[in-house]
Amino acid sequence: MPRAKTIDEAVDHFLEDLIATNEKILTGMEHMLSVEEIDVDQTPKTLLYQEDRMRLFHYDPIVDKPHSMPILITYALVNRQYMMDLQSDRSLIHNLLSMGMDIYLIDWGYPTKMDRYVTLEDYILGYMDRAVDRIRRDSGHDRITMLGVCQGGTFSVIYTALKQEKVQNLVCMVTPVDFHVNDGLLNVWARYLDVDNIVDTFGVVPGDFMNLGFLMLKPFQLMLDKYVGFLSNLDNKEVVHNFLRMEKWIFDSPAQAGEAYRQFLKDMYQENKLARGRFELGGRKVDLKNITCPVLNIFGDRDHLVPPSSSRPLTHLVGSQDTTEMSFPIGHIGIYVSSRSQREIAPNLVRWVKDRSATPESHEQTTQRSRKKSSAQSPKRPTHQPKRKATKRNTGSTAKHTKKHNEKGPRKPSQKRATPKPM
Amino acid sequence: MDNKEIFNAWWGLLNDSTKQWQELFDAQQFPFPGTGPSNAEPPTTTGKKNGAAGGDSAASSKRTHGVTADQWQALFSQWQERFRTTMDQFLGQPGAGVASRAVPGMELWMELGRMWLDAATAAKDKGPAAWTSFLESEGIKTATDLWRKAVGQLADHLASMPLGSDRPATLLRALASMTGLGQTIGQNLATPWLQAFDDLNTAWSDTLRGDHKAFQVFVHQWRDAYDESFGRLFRAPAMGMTREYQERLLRSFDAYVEYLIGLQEFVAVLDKVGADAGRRWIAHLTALKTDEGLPTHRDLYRRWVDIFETTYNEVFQTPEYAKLQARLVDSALRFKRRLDQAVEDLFKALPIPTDSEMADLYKAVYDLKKLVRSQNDRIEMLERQIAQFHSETQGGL
Repeated sequence: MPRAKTIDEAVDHFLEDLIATNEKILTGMEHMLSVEEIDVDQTPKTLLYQEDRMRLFHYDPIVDKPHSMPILITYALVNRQYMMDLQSDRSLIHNLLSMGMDIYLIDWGYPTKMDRYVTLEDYILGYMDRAVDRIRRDSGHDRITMLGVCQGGTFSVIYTALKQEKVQNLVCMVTPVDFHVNDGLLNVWARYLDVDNIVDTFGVVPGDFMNLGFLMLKPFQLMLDKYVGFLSNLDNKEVVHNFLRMEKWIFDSPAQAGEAYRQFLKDMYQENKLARGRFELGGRKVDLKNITCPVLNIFGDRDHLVPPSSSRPLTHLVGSQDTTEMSFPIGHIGIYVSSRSQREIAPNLVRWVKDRSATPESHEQTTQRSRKKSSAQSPKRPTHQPKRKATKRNTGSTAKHTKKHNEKGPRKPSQKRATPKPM
Repeated sequence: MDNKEIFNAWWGLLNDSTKQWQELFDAQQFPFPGTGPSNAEPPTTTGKKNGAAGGDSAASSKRTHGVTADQWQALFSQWQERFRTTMDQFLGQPGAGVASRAVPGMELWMELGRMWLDAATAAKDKGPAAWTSFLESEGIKTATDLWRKAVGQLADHLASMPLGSDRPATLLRALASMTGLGQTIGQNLATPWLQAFDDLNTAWSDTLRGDHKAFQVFVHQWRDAYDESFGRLFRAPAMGMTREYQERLLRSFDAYVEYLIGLQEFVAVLDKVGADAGRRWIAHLTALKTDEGLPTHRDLYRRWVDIFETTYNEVFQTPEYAKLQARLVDSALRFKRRLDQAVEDLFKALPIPTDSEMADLYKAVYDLKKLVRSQNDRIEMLERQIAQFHSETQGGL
C-alpha cells in the first residue's frame, strides 16, 4: 500500500482497505463454512502397542527399502504430537519417511483425573522404556535412535542417561536442558509458582490453564495480531485451512498428570536438577555423562518457549564423543512446520542419523572401516576438544560438530529375532 | 425521533459526562499521571459543605486529592438529569415509565451512598474515637432517628391491635433500646474502615485521575482494613453440628476476597504497563516524520502491536511480575480448592461419589496397576529362567 501525502489520502486508503477486507471476510466466510473437518495427523500409521493412555505407533513406510534404524519420536506431554504431521506438504514426519527413515511415535494421549498419580518415572522408565523394548523387538535392533521433541527431548535425554545400552543415537529438537536461564519467560515465571498448590488443587492440571500461560507470553501477537492477519488472508482457501489446522493444534491441549507435572516443574524449572547433575529417577541418579552415544542437538534461534540458551548446554553436559549442534533462525513452532524446516532440518537430520546408523548389511564393512581409521588415528582424541564449526550452509543454518570420536565405530546391531533380550 | 436524533442525544450525554468527569479530576493529568500539575486541588462545587470534612480546615488541607460527597453528588445529579432527558427521548412512551422509575431508584441508592460517605468523612479521628464520631455524624444520626421512629410506629401499631397483651409492643421497644449493645461488634468491624477512609478516598481519587500506583496503594489499604475487620469474622471458629461446613464456607468466602485482591493487584500492574505503552505509542506518533508521506494504517497498526508487545514483555521478564502472577494464581487456586470443598459438602448427601473419594479410588487403582506390572515382570523373568534351566538341563542330559 503506497504512503499517503495528506490526511485525506490516508483516510481514502483506509476506507479502500476496509472495503477490501470486508470483501475478503465475506469470501472467507464461504471457505469457513465449507470446512467440515480440520484434517491433521494424516500420514498413515499402525498402532503397535498400547498401555494406559500411551500408544506406540509405527508409520507405514513410503519408500521401498527404508533404512533399518528405527527412530522413536517422543513428543512433549503438553500439546499433541501431530504438530510434526500437521499438513501433508509441511510434515516433518512425512519428510523423514520419504527420505527412507523408519519412524515410530509415542502418543501420550489425554490424561484424565484417573492419571493424576502418574509420575515421571512412570512416563520415562515405564511407558517409554516398554515402547523402546517393543520397537527393539519389532525392528530387531538392540539400539534405536531416540528423537525427542521439546519436553519429550528432556525425557529422551533422561532415558538415554539411564538406558544408554538401548540407544544408538540421541536427537533432541528444541529441548530444554538448562532451566535456569532468564531469556525465556516460562523459565522466569515457573520459578515462582507454588507447584504444590497447583497440583493439589487440580489433581490433573487442565490444558486450558497451561494455555493461558502460553498466551500471556505474547498477548498481542497471540490474542490479537494473529487473528487480524487471518482476516487479511481470509479469501485464500489454503491459508484458511492452514490457519485452522494450527489453531486446532494450539488449543488441543491435554491435561497434565499431576505428579509428573509437579516433579517436572519443581526439579527442572525451579531447581534445575538435570543440568546440575542432581536429578534422580527411579532411585537412580541421572548423570548426563552416561550419555555416550552420538548426540544431535537441534534448536531455533528465535524460540521463545525454549530459548537456545536452555537447549545448547546439552552438547557439553553429555559424555558423548560425537555431538552436533544445528541451529536455525526460526521459532519453536517453525522447527516443525516452516518451509525452512522441510527444506533443511529433515535432510540434515536424516543424513546425520544415517551416518551414525549402519544397517545390518553394511555394518560389518563400516565397522571394519572405522577400526582401520581408529588404528590410524592413535592416540585417542581428547574428550573435550574445542568447538569446531563444521559447515556453514548457505541456507542460514549453523551446524557445529563439537566433538567427534569414531574409534569404535557404530555399535553392532543385533539380528532380527522373535523374542527380546532379557532386560 | 429518528436514529440520527437519538444518536445525537446519546452522544451529547456522553460528551457532557466526559467533560464533567475531566473537570472534576483535573483534565490536564488524565489519562497519564505526571504530565500535568501533580497536586491540583479538586474544583469547588456548589454544595452546602466545603470538602469532605464539612469545613474542617485541617482535614480539607490534608485531603488534596479526595473527592467530597458534594462533588460526587453534583456529578451524579448532572449526569442523571441528562440521562433522564435522553432516556425519555430515546424510549418514547412505552419506556418512559421504566426510565422514570429507574432514575429515582438510582437517586435512592445515591442518597444511601451519600449517608455513608458523610458518616465516614465525619470520622476524622484516626484513633479509637473514630467510631464515636462516626455515630455522631449527621447521616448516621438521621438514619438512626428514622429507624427508631419506624420501630416506634410499629410498636404503637402493635399496641393498638386487639392482641390482649401489650407484651409484643414492650418487647419490640426493649429490643430497639438494646441496639447499643451490638455496637461493640459493629465498632470492631467498622473502625479499621473508618480509620482507612481518608487514605482510601485519596488513593481512589488519584486512581480515577490516572495514577496507576495509587490503585495499588488503594488495594493494599483495602486489604489491611479487610484483614482487621471482616477477615477476622470469616476466619472465626463456628459452633454446633454444622461447625465444619460453616467454617469451610466462611473460609471459601475469605479465599474469594483474597483472590479478588490478588486480581486487582494484577490488573493494576497490567493497567500501568498499558499506560506506559500508550505513552510510548504517543511519543512514536509525535516523532513520526511525514516528509516521505504518511505511514499507512497497516504500518501504524504493526508499530502499535510491536510497541505494546515490547512494553509488556519488558515487565513480564521481571521477577516482580513473575511473583505477582504467581500470587494471583495461588490465590485463585486457594479459592477454587475452598469452593470445591464446599461443593463437595453440599453433594455428600447425594448417592454419587465425590471428587475426593474418586481420587482415593484412582490412587488405589494406580498402586494396583504398578503392583500388577511388577508381578508380571517378575513372572516373565522367572519363566525365562525356567526355560533356560530346562534347556541347560536337557542339553546336559
